[in-house]
Amino acid sequence: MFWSRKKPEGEKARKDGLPQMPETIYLAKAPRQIDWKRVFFLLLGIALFSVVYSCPSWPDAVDASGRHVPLTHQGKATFALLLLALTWWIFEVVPVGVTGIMIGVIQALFLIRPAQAAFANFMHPSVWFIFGSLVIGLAFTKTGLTKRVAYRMLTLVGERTSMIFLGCMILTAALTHIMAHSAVAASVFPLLRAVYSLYEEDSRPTRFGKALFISMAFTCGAGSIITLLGSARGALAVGFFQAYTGREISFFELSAYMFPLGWSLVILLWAFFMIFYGPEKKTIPGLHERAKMLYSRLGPMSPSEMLTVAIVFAALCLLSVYHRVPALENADKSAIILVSTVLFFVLRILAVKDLQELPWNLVLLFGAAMSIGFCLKETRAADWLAVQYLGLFRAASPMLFVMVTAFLVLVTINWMMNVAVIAIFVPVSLVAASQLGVAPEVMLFASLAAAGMPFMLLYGSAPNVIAYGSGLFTQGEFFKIGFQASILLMVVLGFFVWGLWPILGMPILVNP
Amino acid sequence: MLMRIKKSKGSAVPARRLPHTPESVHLARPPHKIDWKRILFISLGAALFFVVYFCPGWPDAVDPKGAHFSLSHEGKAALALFLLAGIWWVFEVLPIGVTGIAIGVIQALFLIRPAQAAFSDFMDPSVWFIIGSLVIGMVFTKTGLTKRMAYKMLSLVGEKTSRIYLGCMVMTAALTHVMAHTAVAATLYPLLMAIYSLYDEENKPTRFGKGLFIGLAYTAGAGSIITLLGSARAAVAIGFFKDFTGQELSFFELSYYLFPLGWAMVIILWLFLMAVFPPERKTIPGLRERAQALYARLGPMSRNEILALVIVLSAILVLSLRSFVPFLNPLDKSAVILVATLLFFLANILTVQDLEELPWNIVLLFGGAMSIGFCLWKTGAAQWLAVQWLAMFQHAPWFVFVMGIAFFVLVMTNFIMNVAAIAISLPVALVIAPYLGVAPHVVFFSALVTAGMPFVLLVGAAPNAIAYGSGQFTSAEFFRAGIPASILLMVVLGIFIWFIWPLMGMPVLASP
Repeated sequence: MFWSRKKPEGEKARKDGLPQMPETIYLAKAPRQIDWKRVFFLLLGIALFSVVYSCPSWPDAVDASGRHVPLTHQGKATFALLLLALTWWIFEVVPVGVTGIMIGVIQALFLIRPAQAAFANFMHPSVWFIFGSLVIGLAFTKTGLTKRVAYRMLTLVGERTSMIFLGCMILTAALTHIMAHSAVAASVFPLLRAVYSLYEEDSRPTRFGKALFISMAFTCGAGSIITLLGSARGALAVGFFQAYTGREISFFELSAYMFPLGWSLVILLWAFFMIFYGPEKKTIPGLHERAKMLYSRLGPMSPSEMLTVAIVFAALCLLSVYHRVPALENADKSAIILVSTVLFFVLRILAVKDLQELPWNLVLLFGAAMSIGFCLKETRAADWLAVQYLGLFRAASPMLFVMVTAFLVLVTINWMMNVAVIAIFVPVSLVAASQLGVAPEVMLFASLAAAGMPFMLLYGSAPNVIAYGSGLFTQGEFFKIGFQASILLMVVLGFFVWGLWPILGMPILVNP
Repeated sequence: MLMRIKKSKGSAVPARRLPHTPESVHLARPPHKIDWKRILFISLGAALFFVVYFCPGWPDAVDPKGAHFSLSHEGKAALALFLLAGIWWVFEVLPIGVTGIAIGVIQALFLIRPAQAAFSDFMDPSVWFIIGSLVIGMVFTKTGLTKRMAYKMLSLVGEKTSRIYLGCMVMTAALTHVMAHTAVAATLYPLLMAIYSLYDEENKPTRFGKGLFIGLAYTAGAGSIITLLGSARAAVAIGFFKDFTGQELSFFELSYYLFPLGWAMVIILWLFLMAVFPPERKTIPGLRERAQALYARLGPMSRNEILALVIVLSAILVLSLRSFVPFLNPLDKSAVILVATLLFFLANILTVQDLEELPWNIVLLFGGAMSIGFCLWKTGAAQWLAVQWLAMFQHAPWFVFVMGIAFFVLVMTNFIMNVAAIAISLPVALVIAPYLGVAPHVVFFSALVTAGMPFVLLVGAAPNAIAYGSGQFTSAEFFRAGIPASILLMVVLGIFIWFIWPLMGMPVLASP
C-alpha cells in the first residue's frame, strides 16, 4: 500500500524540526494469519480420501437371500470422494460450490466415471428446475411483490397478537410455495423485526419474540416441502427418483401428498407455540395503522408486478396440469419453468445484471449433489450400501423401516446440507425399499418431509441462521424448542405414513 | 414513488402563502419507451422459428454418390431453432446467456431432443474448460500480474507510437496464449485507456486511438487461435473433431500449426493498422518514466502472484505434456484446468465472491452454443445441411473447397458468437470433407483460424465489444476497417493451406 502522508520520527526529529519526508512509505504487510482449523480439515478430507481410495477392497454385501453384491473399485472410490466432499462441505474449507467442482474433477481424474458423465450431471434438468425457481424468487423480490404481500397480510390480521402470529406463519408458509425457503426467510425477516419493535420497544427478548422468530424458521421448513419450488432438495430427490425407479413424480402429485402434511404442521406448530410459548400481551396496538400506511405507500401495482404475478401463476398452473393435457404430455417440467425465466428477460422485468446476482455458488452445489448421486448409482455403490443398511432391519416391519430412515434423515439434516443428505439417502433408501417390499413413493415422501425440517441445530438450514440473527434466543433455547418440535414432526409423519397417505392413494407396499 | 417536497401550483396561488402540502405526492412514472426494434427482432426470430417448424417437410439432400439424406421433423425443428437463436444472438434482444437458456427450453418443449440431453449439454466438459480459463483470467487480474506485465511492456517499448502499437498488439497476442481472449481484452482495456490519456488529454477520438483499440480487438482474435487457452471455441472444436473423426488433437499439435499463422497475422495487422490509422504524433513524451514509476510502485512480487503463476504454469505444463506422456493421457483436459481452479480457492487467492462474479452470462452462452451444436448434429440436420452445401462444391478442387469452408465460417463468426459459429460450421465441414477426399485436419484448422477473427461486426466477439467501449470508433468505422482486414486474413490463410501447412506435415488429402 502507498501513502504520501508525513510521519514523525521520534523525539529528536521533533526538536530539530520535521525530518525529510521520504519519497514513498511502504506499510508493513499485515501478518498472515494461518487458519489452522481450515488447514486441518482440508488435509483431513484428503487423508480420508487417500486411505479409503487405496485400501484393499471391502467385502461383498450379502442380502437376506444370500445374494452377493460386490463393491467395485469405482464404488469404493465413490465412498472416498463422498467422505472428502462431506468433510469439506461441513467445515466449509472452500466455498461449497468449489467443493462441488472438486466432485466433478476427482471423478474425471481418478477415472471413477468418464468426464462427460461426471460433468454433464451438473446441469441435469433438476438443476435447471432449481435455477428456474431461483429466478422466480429473484423476480418476486426485485419487483417488490414480496413486500406487497407481506403488508397486505398485516392489514388483514388485525391487532390480536395470536392472529398476527398466525398471519406471519401463514405468510411465510405461503411464500415458500413459490420461492426458495432461504429467500423467504431473508425477505420475511425485516418484516418480523418491524412487527416485534411495535410489541417490545427495546427489542429485548420476550417469549413472543422467541416464538415469532423460531416459528419463522420452522414454518420455512414446513412450507418448503409442499411444492417443488420451496427448495432445491425436492427437485433433486424427484430427479433421483426418476433415475432409480423410472417413474416420474409430477409437480402436482408431490404437492397433493405434501400439502396436507405441510399445512397441518404449520397449524400444529402455531398451536404448539401458543400453548407453550404464549405471548405476554394480548394485542399489539398501532400495528394495523402502520401496516395500512405502509401498504398505501406502495401505490398501485406496477405493470411489471402484474406481469410477474401472471407469469408465475401461469407457470404454476401449467406445472400442475401439463401431464394431463395431451399436447403437453411429453413436456418437461424444467422446460416449463424455464419459459418463465426467458419471459422475465423478454419482458425486461430482469436484466443481465440480475443473471449475475443469482447464487451461482449454490447452483454449482446442487449440480454437484446431482453428480455424486448419479455416481453412487452408476458405480453400483448405492446397491452395496443399501444391502449393508438393510442388514440392520432383518426382522423389522416395513413401516418401521420407513420411520427409522426418516428419523435418520432428520438427525443428519441438522448438521449437513440438505442436498447432500438427499444425494446420499434417497438413492440408498430407494434401493433398500424395493428389497423390503416398501413402495418407493412412501420412502421418498417420508425422507423429503424429514429433510425439510432441521429444527434443532442452527446450521441445518439458512432460515435457522437468519432467525438467529434476531438475537432473541440462544442456541440452547433453539435446540430445546426444536427437540420438542421434532418429536411433534415424527408423530405427525407417522400418522401420515400409516393413515392419511394410503387413504390419499399413495402406494405403501409392493410385492417384492 | 413518494416524495415529501412542496410543489407550487402556478400563478393562482397567493404570493405570500404557500398552499398546503399534499399528504403524499405521487410522481408520474417516466413515460414507458417501447423499443420497437427489439420487439421486431424478437418477433422475427419467433416467426421464423414457427414458419420453418410448421412448414411441410423439405426435400432430401442428394450426395454425389446418389445417396439420399432426408431431413427428419426434429432436424427441421433444429434448423428452425438455429434461425431463432441466430437472430436473437446477432441483435442481442435478450442477454446472450438467456438466449442460451431458450435454446434448451425450446428443444425440450418442442420435443426436438429429450430434456435430459438438451440440458445436460450445457455442462459439457468443454464448457467446464471455459470456466477454468475464465478463472485463470480472473486470477491474473486479481493478483495484479496483468498490471505488472503491462507496465513492464511499456517501459520496454518506449515512447514511439508505432512501437507502442506493436507492443500493445504483441502483448495482447502473448497474453491470449495463457488466458481467454475476452479476459485479455477486459484486463488490457484499462491499460490502453491509461496509455491513451497520455497521448490525448481530452480523450477525443484520434487515429491513434482508433488504431490502438481496434488493434486490441483484432489481435485478441488473432492471438486466441494459437493455444487452447485463448478461447472457448478451440476446446469446443476439438470436442467435435473427436466426436466426428475419433481422433484426439493435442494441445501442442494445435499450437504447432497455428503459432506461425497467428503471429504472421499479428505482424500483418500491425502494418495494416499503421497504414490505415497512422498516429498523428510520432512519440508520447514521458510515457517511459510513468510506466517505470508505476512498475516500481508495485513493489516485489507478492506471494499470491508467485503462487498464481506457478499454478497456471504447471497446469499449462500438464496440459501440454498430456500428448507426450502416456501416463497423463487419460486425464481429462477440463479436469486438469479445474484443478488449477480448485488450487486458487484452496490457496485463498480467490473467494466465494469471485466465484459468483464469473461471467455466468458468457458461460450460459457457451452452454447454449454446445446444446445447439449437438442438437444440429444428433438430429441429422448438420448432415443434411452439409450435403446441400456439398452440392455446390461437387466438382471444385480441394483448395477451393477448403477456402469455401473457411469463408463460410468467417461470415458466420461475424454474425454469431464464435463458439456458436464453430458449433454450427464444423460438424457440417467435417461431414463434407471425406466426400472430397480432404483430410479433416486441414478443414479443422482453417475453420478454427477464421472463426477466431470476426473483424467486421461488433457482435462477432467480446473483445470487439470491449474495444468499442472506448468510444474511439463507430461501428461503421469498425466495419470499414474490417473488410480489408478480412481479405488479408483470407490471403494469409490461403498461403498457409497451399504451402506452409503441408510443409509442416499437416495431412491435407485423406488416403482413400
